Amino acid sequence: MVDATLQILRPPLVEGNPPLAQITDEVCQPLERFPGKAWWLAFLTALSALGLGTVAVIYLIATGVGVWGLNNTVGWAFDITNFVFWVGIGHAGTLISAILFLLRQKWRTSINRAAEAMTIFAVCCAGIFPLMHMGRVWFGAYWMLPLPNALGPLWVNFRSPLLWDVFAISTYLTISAVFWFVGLIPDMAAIRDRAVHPIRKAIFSILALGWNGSNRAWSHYEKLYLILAGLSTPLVLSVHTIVSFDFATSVIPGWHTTIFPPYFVAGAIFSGFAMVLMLLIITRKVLSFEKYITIRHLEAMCKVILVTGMMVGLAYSTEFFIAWYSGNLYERYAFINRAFGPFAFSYWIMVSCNVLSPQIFWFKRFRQNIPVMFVMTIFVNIGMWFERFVIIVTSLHRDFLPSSWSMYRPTWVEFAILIGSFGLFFTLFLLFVRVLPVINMAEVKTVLKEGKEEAHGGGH
Amino acid sequence: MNKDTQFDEFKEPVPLTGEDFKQWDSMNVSRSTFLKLMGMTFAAAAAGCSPMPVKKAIPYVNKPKEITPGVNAWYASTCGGCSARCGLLVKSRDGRPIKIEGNPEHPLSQGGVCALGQGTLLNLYDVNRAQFPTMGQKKSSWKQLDEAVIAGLQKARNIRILTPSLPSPFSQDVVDQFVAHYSSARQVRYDREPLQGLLLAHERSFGRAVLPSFYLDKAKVIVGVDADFLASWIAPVAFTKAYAKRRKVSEQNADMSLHVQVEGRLSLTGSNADLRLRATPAEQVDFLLWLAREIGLKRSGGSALTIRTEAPKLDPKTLERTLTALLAHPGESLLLCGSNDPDIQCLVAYINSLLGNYGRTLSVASAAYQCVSTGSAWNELVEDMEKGRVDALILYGVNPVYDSAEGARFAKALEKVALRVSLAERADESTVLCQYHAPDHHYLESWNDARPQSGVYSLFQPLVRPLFDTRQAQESLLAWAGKPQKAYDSLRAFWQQNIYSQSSRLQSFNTFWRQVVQLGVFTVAAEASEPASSVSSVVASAATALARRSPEKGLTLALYEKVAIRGGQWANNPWLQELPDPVSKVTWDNYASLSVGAAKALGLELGDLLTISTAGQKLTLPVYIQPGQHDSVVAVALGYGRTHAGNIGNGVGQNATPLSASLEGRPQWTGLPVKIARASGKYKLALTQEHNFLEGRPIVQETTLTEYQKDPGAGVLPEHKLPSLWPEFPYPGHRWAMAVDLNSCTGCGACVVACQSENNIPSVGKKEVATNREMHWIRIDRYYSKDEENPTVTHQPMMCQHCGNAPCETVCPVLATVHSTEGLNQQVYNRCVGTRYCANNCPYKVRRFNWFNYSHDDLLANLALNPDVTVRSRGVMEKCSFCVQRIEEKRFGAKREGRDIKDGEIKTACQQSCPANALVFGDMNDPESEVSKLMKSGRAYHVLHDVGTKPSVTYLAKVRNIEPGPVAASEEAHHG
Repeated sequence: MVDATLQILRPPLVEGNPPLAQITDEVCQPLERFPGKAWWLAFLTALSALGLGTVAVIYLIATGVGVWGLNNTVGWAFDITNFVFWVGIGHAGTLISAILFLLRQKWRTSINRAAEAMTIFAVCCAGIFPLMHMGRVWFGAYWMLPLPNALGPLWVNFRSPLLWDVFAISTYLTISAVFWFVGLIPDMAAIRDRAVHPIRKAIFSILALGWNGSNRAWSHYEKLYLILAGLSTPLVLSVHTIVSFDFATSVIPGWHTTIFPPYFVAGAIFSGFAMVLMLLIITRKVLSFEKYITIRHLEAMCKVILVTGMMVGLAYSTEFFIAWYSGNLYERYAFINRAFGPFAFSYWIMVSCNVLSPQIFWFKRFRQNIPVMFVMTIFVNIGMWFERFVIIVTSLHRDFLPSSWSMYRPTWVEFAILIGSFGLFFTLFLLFVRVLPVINMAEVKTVLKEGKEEAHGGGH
Repeated sequence: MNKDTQFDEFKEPVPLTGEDFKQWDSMNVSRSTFLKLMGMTFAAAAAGCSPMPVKKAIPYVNKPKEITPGVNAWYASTCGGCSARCGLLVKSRDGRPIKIEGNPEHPLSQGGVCALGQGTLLNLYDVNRAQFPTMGQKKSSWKQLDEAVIAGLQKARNIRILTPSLPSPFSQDVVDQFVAHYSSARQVRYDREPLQGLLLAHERSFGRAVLPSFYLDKAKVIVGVDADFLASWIAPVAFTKAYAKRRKVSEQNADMSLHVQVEGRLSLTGSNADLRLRATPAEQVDFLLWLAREIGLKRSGGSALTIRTEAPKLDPKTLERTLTALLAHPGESLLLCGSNDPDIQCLVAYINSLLGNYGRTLSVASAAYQCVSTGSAWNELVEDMEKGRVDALILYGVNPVYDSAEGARFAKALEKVALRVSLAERADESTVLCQYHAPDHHYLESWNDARPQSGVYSLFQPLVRPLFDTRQAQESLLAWAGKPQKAYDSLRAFWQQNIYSQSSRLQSFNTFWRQVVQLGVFTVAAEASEPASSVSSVVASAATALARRSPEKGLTLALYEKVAIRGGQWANNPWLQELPDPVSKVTWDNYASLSVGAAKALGLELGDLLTISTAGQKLTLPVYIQPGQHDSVVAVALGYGRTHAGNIGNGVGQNATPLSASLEGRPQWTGLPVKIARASGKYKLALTQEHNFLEGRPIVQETTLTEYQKDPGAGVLPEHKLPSLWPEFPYPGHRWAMAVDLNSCTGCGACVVACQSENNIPSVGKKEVATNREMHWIRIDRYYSKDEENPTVTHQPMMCQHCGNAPCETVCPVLATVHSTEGLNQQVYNRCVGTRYCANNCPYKVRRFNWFNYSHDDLLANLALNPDVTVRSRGVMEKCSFCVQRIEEKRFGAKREGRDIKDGEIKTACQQSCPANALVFGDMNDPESEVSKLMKSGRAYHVLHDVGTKPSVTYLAKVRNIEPGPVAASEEAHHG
């Protein structure tokens, strides 16, 4: 009875109740056939963007950071904006995999693989920027690490938020990658077992780490998965908290704000969900996974976007209130300048994309309308990119001494590297959908009616 | 480190000589001690000047006594940058000059030296200087050239030698010898600066065509009428020194001079005035007529001025205060006027005379020699040349094709001269029209002397063997006059005959000479009594002539010189081109300044193009909107638009000289009627400061003199102790600090070039300045407050504040910026990876990033680098180090002598050069040091105290000698 009611109240997580073998067949199918035109078109576009970015990066390193539009007053702009943007994108993956797993949100099962992959790729994209922004990356790349060295007592500065970033991001990347890999083991074993080509079989044999599907293996697997989920959970909060410390611990009006940690985390989840949603809309269409990634999944994500969007909206207004309430001359000016100064356009793009536009998700109609969702995900990503741009550039360009106030104009190199980072992201993602199962077959099978009914029936 | 002296291994004289090393063999020296000493050898420096001149370059196998590798030697010399002739001390390292500083022994410049003077060092190492003599633009030898020139001169029947007013007795003597040798030769003087009117007025009033000397330190009231005496007029460094003395206030001496400036454009001098009146040249005349009449009535019972004058249409309150102040300070006031009109200058002389200022604040008896010619011979020369009456012309120290209003006419007339010889140091605009070019040395390669003022004689001595195959102009002239002699020998002989005789002669000439070469300067008492004046009788006609003149209606042009570029002689110099104009903050360009009102009326914005046309000339320049300028004045700087200066100076800005006029050989720079029209297009000006207002922030704190006299802390916000998360740094020994007196700083920019020269700061070029990437470690922020039409101006030097709680230090991930035990915020270039986080987090925005590998390809210019300071590569952050190399140099010196560092011994480069003594460096842990006393002053405050950075730089609030009233910035902040 109860089940029947639930069945009405909650639509099934996998539509059509396919048999288990069909799930395996369908999920593995993109891996086992030659890619179609759509994939090639997307892949070549992404690769071109990556190529453009690579050329720009080579030019940057060969010439100097001066090829960007930065100046004495504005020392960071696109570089750190892109960094925070990509780190933010990376947040949804862990949230979906770990926190929703711990909260027993079963709807995550068909999207967690893609979300985790996206996390890893986004963190890779993010990682480029702290490296590229350095004046001497050839030293900076390893001087940032607390390595034993022959330079006497020289070590890293543990008081610097940039160093905290190094630890936060590398920890996050490591845990996310391990978590992703562990989750892939049963599926990789399935691919191994299906593989016809000997090389393919050999590769997946290695990757599957000798998985045999025994009870013992499953029991170990689930324990490990739970532990990793537990380890990842605090990271969802900590990574963006630490990224926000880059700004919050500084003295610059507009950066020196205690609200930043929760504000940044909310923003990260907001943008991360938008990015996952965007990728899933494309993936389910291109790979015909509508059955597994249902409208229900998408709607749930829209709700998360609506909530986190309002959270960042609250943060924006709190900042303004505090700027006024504090009576601090510099703080007050920084916020007036944000909304009405020369970079006001970026502020209003941010507000309209992040706070105003998600409000349409109050309506179920829009939460279930895929074109609307798709446009919204783009809006949110634009808005969140501009949020970081607003925080970084508008705070810096007019800080304490009016004599040093300055404007910032990006150059083609900065645009090219931004485009290149998207190129890298999509190249990696497109390769991922070709070589690894996009949907966690093993987990999806657990949410099927089939398994449940058996278990249920057995109980009677 | 306060126990410096206990390490007595440093007592060894460093650097070690061969004898010392022998001793070392027998001593038990540890490897580390040895290395320490070796390191010291390169870092330490011997103090004191060596009197020995560099006459020959000697290879280092036979090491000359005065050159020790790695040790600085200082030589006294004289500045050849402009005609003011300030005293210099030049730092020489390994036989090459690397830094120019002021000579504190010089009675006029007193250790100050301007931006231009310091910049001329780079012109020494300029590849675009002439490198060999040429005949018909082809390389020749000196022998060939001499033969050809002498042959030409012997044939010539009318020889002219065109020189400026040479403020050098020796050079004048050489010219005289030349003129004496050729019976048909005559010297013609051509001065590009408009000072002739001043001479003519004194000729009429005192019977002497001389420039008077001015003593601004004796004046309690200074009224400047269009005289930019702190930036470019006659002798700005000496004037700034004297002016600043009267502008210093302290609890002990709470009094300062009153400075009123009446001018059309906002000059650097006007920006420092207490009261400022915006007036067109016609209104300036009205002002002077009114002043003469009023003062005449009050001081001599009746006025010598018979004409009726009405009060000028200027702010009556300011006029009243000016008049009252002048009348209250007879003999302690000074009226300075920049006009080149003898009638106007007569009026000025009359007013000064009525006030009893002659003999007190200015003197005719003790004349100045920057200009000794009334310019009347110029017209005659050009006419003679045009009519073919001159068949040989020698150009010595002049470039009239470029810098005369009649340059084009002169160039055309020059074609008719058969023998044209130039002695210029580069193939400039006039030289390229000559057949023979006998290039002169740079002044740092020459022997010469100077007499800037009666009784003040100074010497130039060469700092380096000539870099190129050039010959000193005096030697050339002597050779052509049949008396070939080395400049050193002839100069010494000249001094023996002429100058030594003025000394007490208590010592032999050799001793006298050695002393003067060592000291750089020799003074004799000047004539005491002023000549009799007939000013009252000549003023009436002058005033009548002035009153009869119909004033120009509409726009007038004001041409002026900038502090760094001046007449453009040294334009091939990136330091000078990149030094922002102290008022407009524009680099690498000249432009048409318009007032805020005029720009608004014409709908013009910064960078719009504007065509200025006079009767026969047109010039299109970008617009700069200058608050404080008169609505009917357009101002353009001279010295730009060189075509033959060199790779750097060519084509920077445009030459405005053709817009000027010449009246009986007197250059006219102001009051020129012009028309302006908008031209199509936009032009990007490179500004170092784009926002001019304080936004109500208490960054500049100020008060008025009356308030200050009541309360020494007036206008200064109280500074409460702020809580801090970090523990206090202990500073057991020294703690270095600086005090900046906003009341003294005139904003001239000498410190910026001093710092650039001392610290190997690259020039980045116009394009990079336009993107706000200038590298200057010290900058001068200029703020306007109150009224945009006629604003109150403040100049605020801003450099690394060496914060106690430095925001940059905590954020660097690799510890590339760290705090020293002596309170310095140190930047470790080798460790820096260039995240720029420190610069972002610096509230003062004083950190500078190497965006590129800035060019150090010019190997010759690299000789000007300071070996004590690392040249930074790209990707590295840099900033003011408080001249840490100078601190270390003095520390080693003190250690060697087994004593503590004395207060005032360490002078940072900016402090040393400051003509206003606005910067004081010292140890704040020493309660007796000057800096700690200033830090306790009522005027002391810290910029952005409330951010909690605990800066080591203390600012002393600006005091304005005005009626108390609302003071813009700090007042607002009190309530805000």
